[in-house]
Amino acid sequence: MTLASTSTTSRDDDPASRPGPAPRPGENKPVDRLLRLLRRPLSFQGLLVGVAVVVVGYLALVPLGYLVHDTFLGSGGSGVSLDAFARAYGGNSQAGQMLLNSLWFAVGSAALALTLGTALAYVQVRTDTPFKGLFFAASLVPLIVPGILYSTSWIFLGDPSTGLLNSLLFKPLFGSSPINIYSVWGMIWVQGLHLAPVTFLLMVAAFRAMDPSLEESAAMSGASRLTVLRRITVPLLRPAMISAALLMFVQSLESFEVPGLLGLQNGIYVFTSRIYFVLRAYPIDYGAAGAYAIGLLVIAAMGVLLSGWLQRSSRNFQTVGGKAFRPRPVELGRARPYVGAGVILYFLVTVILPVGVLVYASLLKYYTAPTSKTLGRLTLDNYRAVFTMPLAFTALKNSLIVGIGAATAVMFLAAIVAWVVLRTKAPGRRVLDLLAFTPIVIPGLVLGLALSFVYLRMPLPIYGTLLILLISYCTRYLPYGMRYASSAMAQMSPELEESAAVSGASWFQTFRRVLLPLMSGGILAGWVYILVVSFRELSSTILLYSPGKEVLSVLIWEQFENGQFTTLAALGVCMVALLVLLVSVAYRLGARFGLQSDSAN
Amino acid sequence: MRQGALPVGLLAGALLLGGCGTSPTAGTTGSAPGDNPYAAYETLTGKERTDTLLAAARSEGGAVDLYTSNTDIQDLVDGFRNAYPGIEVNAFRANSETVLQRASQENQANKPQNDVMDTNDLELRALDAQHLLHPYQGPAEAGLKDAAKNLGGWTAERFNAFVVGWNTDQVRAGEEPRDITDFADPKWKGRLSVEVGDWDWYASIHTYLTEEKGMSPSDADDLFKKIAANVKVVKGHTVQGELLSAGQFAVALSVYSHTVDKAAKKGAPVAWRPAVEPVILRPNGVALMAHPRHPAAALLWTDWVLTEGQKIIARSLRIPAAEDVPGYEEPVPAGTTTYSLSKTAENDTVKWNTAYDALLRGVPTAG
Repeated sequence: MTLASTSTTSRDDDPASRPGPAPRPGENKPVDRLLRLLRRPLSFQGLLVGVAVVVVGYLALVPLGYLVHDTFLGSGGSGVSLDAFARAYGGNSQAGQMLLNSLWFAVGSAALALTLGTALAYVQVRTDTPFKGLFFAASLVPLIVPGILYSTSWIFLGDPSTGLLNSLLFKPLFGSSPINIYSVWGMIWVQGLHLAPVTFLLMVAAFRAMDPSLEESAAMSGASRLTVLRRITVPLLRPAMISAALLMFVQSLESFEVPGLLGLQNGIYVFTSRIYFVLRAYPIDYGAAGAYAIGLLVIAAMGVLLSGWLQRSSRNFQTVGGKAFRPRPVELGRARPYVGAGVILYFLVTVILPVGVLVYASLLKYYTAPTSKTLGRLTLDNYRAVFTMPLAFTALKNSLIVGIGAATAVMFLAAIVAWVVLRTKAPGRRVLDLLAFTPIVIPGLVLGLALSFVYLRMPLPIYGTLLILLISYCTRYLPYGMRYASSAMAQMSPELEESAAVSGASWFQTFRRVLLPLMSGGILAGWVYILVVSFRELSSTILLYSPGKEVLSVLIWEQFENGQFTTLAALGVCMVALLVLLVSVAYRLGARFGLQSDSAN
Repeated sequence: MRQGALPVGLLAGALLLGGCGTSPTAGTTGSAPGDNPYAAYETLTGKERTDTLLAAARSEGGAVDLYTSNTDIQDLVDGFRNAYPGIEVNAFRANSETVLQRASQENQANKPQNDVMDTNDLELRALDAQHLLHPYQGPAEAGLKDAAKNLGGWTAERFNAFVVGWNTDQVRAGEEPRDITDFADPKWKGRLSVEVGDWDWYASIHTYLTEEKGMSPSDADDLFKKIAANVKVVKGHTVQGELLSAGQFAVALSVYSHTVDKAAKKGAPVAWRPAVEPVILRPNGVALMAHPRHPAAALLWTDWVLTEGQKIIARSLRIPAAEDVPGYEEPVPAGTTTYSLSKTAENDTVKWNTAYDALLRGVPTAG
């Protein structure tokens, strides 16, 4: 049984229940506590919170400062100017048209990913669906496969003339080739599937921390299933859903892998193709690149503020309170086989098809559509090449160190900073929240340049070591960590902390024994996400790594540059296998430390 | 409520930090003339040179730090290790833009970390303009082609050939294009592909047409507009090569000859000969850094790459810079028109980049 329950009122816009704890004599308790902490800056707790805030601020401000400097000051250093914006958005840049394409693509992808991820998480946590094991793979594999491979797989599947889905499925059965992956819908499809795991991870954690008794009460009072979903379930999950939507929207806006591979073929240009162009030229127009990044930053900032506003009545979402609950799965009854079939179908489409194409390609010398002739010529040469790469072992070791290090550090920092943002009334906490979100729009190359600029001038031996990669990854994934941690914390009622404090627990004890365990679902989800994506981070890595400190993404890049697509596919398959293994170990360990599991349901 | 207090401190910290340096992107380290780390070895020749360099390289620490964008570098590293066991090669591999950024940044901070550079001509020229390179002097120069020498602070070690490659299932024998101008024909609609970042290919063909073929710039623009109407744009040469093998399109307008040759060697239905004219030759070079930590090892590496290393370059199906490599057959057929970007066009990188971008997006080229 888990310690948790609810004190939620379904909808409540009463101004009396604005952010913070209930208006009781102890109204300003967390503020007092923060002030006490700051007044005793040398105490352990004060130091911990202070250091976490400073570190997060420092991580975010270094690249931001560099970006702003280059954008507004120009390379001549002659005063503030807005020339960079004119170069970036003016002339024949078609920036408006491209921004519209980008928005369409980003909104569509985020909506698809949000729908799929939430539905899957619901079925996984709250129903007695069959094939729960498949969920695990279906939810994570698309995230693990590097974007470039996932997109290329879909080209091989969905090309209008030679794609396998068209030539092997639709053409023989229906006599037409309806699938065209080189369209905005194709882009949304691939990006949405690739991002759905972000939502899934967040929403699984959110569903687990939610008391089903609210829904049961509604159902008893005569509400239909749809009404319960619309009036109870969805509103309660708003913090997590908003976090997911925000992350995926901004990430789609700033990514160029899917639009670059799928959109360009039909002349669909997006906003980031401009950044790509600017960063490829020499001398690089850092001002223009910065102006684009600041454009994205404005959009992202509006997103963060909007999500803050939507969550303004935060008490409405606190589903973890002092009472205990036992999550009970919804019995699907007659719908069970259909849901089971849906699970299989989703697994087939998001995992088996694209990964199958990758496995098939990895067994070839060069890609051709499967015929009886090619199937007879399959070879393991590419895997042999992967395992005999001179740097394979070093790279794997370094990737593990940096990935696990970054995931742990980010989630630890994010948990503390999320507490400051959500639980205290510290002045400037909103700005801190916003600041921690900015790294998401900084292009990787600019981040790399900012870090090398700073650490080349610092006497500490950081440049040229793995530490600089760790710093870079912590910066890049801070926004994700923050969203995962704060959506987990938004679900918790402060009464638990208050009870702990009343019972004489110190702040640190409360944090470690009450908050962290209750947030562990969200924390672990964020940890898994960061670990997985850090394995493929390249854009800042490529500038910052040093010989002998290679990571796996550098090897992937090398195969990619060298034109060995089939070897690259083999490397991708190995990575999927490795990360699936790692993540299952992480979840096993998580279960041992009190994280509830759904496998028994 | 005061919203600012918490970040004010952070901001102050950042300002302090920003104040530490000058502009992040501008400024270079001036190299003092007369301060030549290679002076002791440059005039030596023959066995004396090699022996002196080897002994000095050992006493420097027995390592050379190399920054490279050459994707076949491992073959050279292995060859060098066989020739000089005990001299370690630490290779930083990245794309050419990154290699350039990294070396520039390190030198701006007065913390140079590499001894030798191996990358594309554009990036080497940019480094040379910042006075970060030191011209190579040694006996190996005598064996090089004319086009490989006298380039300033760097020396060409190999040439890449940009060619038109096609899928032999899609382009039947007899249908092969002969000249780049053929691709304006609407029969190629949707069958051609170009790479989104290949503005230097565009610059080369454009200047070839105007400077060598006497075409007026507006005619050349019109031709490119017609070609652009037929193309599909892809991102990345590897994906382009793989999609060409798979038959997703018939022709790739700018691929490396060695990419097509490697794929054909594995049995993929691709070819580039008889070559569509012109074949664009681009030098890739090796350069000594002006501020090396291991000058003797750097010179040893460069000597070796420009002599013995040329055989390894030839084996990886690239075009070596040496005049004469035993047992090597020139991949570009004799009599094919080749072209290298002219000096005037080289300097206008921003113009060509912008024009290529505008061409692909189909916006009116206003300049």
